[in-house]
Amino acid sequence: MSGKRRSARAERGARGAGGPAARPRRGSRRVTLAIAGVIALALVALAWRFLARRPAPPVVSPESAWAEYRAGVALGERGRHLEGLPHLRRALESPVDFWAFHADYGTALFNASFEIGSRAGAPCAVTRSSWERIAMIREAMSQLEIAAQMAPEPRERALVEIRRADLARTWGLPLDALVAYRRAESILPGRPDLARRTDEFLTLLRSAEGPGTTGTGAPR
Amino acid sequence: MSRPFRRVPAVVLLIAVLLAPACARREPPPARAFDPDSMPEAYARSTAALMWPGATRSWQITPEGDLYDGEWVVRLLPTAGPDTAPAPRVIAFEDRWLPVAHWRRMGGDIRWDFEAAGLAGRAPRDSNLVVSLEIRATNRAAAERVARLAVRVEPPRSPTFVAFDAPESIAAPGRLATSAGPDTAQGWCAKPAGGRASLVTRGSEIVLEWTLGPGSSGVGRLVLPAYALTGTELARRARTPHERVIADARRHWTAEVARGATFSLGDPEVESALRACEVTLLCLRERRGTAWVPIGNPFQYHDVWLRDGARAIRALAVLGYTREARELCAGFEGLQWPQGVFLSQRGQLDGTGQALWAFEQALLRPARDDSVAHFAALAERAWRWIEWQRDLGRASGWEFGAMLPYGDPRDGELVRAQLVGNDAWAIAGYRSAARLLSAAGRAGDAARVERTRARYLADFLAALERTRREDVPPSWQGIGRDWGNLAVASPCGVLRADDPHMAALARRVWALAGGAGLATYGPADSAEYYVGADLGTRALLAGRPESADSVLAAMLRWRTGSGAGAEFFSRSSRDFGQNLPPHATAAAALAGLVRDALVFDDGDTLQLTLGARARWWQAGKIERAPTRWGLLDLEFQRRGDRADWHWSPVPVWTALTLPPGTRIAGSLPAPLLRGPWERVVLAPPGTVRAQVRLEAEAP
Repeated sequence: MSGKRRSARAERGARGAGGPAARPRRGSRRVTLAIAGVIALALVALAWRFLARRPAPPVVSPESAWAEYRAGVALGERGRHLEGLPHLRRALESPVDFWAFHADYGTALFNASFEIGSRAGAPCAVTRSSWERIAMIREAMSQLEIAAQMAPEPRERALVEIRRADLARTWGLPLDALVAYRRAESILPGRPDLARRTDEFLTLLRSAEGPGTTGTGAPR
Repeated sequence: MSRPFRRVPAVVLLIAVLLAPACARREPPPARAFDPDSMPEAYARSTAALMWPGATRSWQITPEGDLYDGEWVVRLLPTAGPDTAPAPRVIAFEDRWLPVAHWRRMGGDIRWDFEAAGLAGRAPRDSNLVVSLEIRATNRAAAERVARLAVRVEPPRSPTFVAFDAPESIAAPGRLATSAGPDTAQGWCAKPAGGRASLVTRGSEIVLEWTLGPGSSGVGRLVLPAYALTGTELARRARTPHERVIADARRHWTAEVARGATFSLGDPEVESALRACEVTLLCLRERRGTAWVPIGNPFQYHDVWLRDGARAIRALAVLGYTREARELCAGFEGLQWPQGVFLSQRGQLDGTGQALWAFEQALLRPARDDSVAHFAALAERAWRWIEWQRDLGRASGWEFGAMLPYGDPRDGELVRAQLVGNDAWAIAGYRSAARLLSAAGRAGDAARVERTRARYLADFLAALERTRREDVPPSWQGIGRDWGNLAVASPCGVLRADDPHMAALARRVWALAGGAGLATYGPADSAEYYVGADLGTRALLAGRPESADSVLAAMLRWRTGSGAGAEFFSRSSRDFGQNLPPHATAAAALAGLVRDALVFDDGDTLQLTLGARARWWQAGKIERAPTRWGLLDLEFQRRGDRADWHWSPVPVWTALTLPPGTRIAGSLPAPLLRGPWERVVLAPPGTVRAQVRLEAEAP
């Protein structure tokens, strides 16, 4: 509070105490304050009741989280990745914070970015444009990063790395993919399948040239 | 009347007199009799797009003369007795740029004239483009005739494109409303006027019929929203007369093209082509939340590509649409991946360099934008990613390890290989990153990026040497179609414009096409509209304006009656197949080449009239052209044996190119100096006027 306001109040108090004319005014102010207080209390009480009665945001129970997760994964297995996303998102909203929820949500986003549907009887990408697809990929990478941090076992961490590698490879970032494949290999050293995967990819990288891909759902 | 009020008429009169010129300037060009078939049409089948900035659907006026929005075809079947009017010959915009479409169909004794324009309204997702279409049937016979127009709203059969938000299947026909009501309809059909007219609804079809005396006309009108509306809403829209919609469209677009840089060249074809490019580029933008993104085309390329969007951003920036260009840069931010790379489509690794280049082009013209520090940070992340790629590649010890890894772009080069264009664009991106960092006050970081650019450039030249090619191949492995390699000199600035490799590349590309002009893509008969434009700018910079002019002439020729270029087409059949115009990059390329021929500011020197045609020299004038050194006004004129330039002062040297077929006569007046070419004069910083005596160039 500023000094100026303090002194103004002191002045008002002095004037009020100075004569009888001030008394009724002071009394009416008390009444006004009391009424205002009652109203304020009533409002607070009403607000409290309203807030207390308002339905709490739905909490996904651990059981239903698993059910949602399984439904999302099952839809993905049938190639309906986009449809599976809300289920996987709901699983993530539950108190169950499980690495696979993040890993499979990220994977579903990645897969949905390529999903082909149908519009007016013609095959079309289910996503509107690359802008939405890249938004999905950014979120997928973020989810895979969380999964990599959370995965408790080396096998699971390696699995997340392979998914990151596949994402980078499919989108045409071969060196990013190679680094991720190697990370997977270093997490689980001595696994011949991982080593073979990296070697195969290295061979592809070395002999880069080849016929290009056409007619992949992209408009040109 | 009291004294103060006695002055009111005088004041009102004074205000009216003062405002009259301003109001007059805002008036659109007056409507006039317009024969669409008089408009040049380069392609075998004519089509046009009615579009609107931000609108999520556009209307295609199909070669058959119907309208299609990606979900519904509004089929128009005009008949006169047994004669059905065939498809229109030309679907033209006014002056070949102003998006008021006209087309004509002749059937028996009836001439059918169609006029349509779109204005935006509200829609579930974004602007709903609502088209007002007027149909005028004129009896050309000496006796009474019956003219009949059947209108149907049908699902598309084998559509060339489908709207992204069209339903999975459309089985039943749509309908046109004729009265207000709560039910939705795909359009509105007004009661016909003129002659003895009737409107009959037969199931899903509406038939308008006129009995017309000799020389008389009947008029019908449709109102067609891109998204269905209720009958009540359609009735409300239809209350705005067609003439008013057309006048509003003319007024809007006239104002839109006027707010950009203006090019007065005494060359109506080029000036109208520029306006058509501006309309196309302004329309091919969509919203995503608060962001704007560039789209390739309103129909089959209704998507976002970094490679096309970057060109659109640059074109909008140099045409004076600074705000729009910068908004699109903000939209590009959504295409940056966490590791720094910019990627919009699988395997298109040129996107990173293109995004950085687009940022620089838009954010530093005509003056640095406040957001430059933010975009410099994005550019720095992108640069780090490329450096990381190069470090990994170098460590591999592979032959072209220092270059970006292989890409399979499913486009352009159409091979899986290490593409030369990816590296060229990356190097261009380094230059842009350095400029952005420098503009953001981070001189040290800019210098660091420049050092890595010098190293990258050296690696590029070494790689080119290893290919043992005289020209610049599409990929380091030598395979692929010419695409990104065409941009190596301009705009990427990796090789000099007069580098022998670039000259050999231009010779090879143009030899396939029978001379300087459009590039060939794949089969010799297949022309590509825009990719060769970079060779045009390269020719300008190499002192070969006649080659650049051939490219420009080809681009001007291969346009629709609405002023649009198709991406690919057959030279022999003049058919673009399913690749419908307009294409954003075609518009960007044409506008960019004209601008480069007049004002080029990518280097450390302002270059003026690099490729100005003889006709432009009669009294060329450019106003408010954004450059890296501020807004530029330029006037240039040739009077007999004298060339004059008058331009806004810039803090760098200006290189002035003489009119075609001339050279300097005698000595130059101080402070002008001779330039690197015979036809170039240099003016020191701050110069605003130059005059040079000319003589004919030796044959």
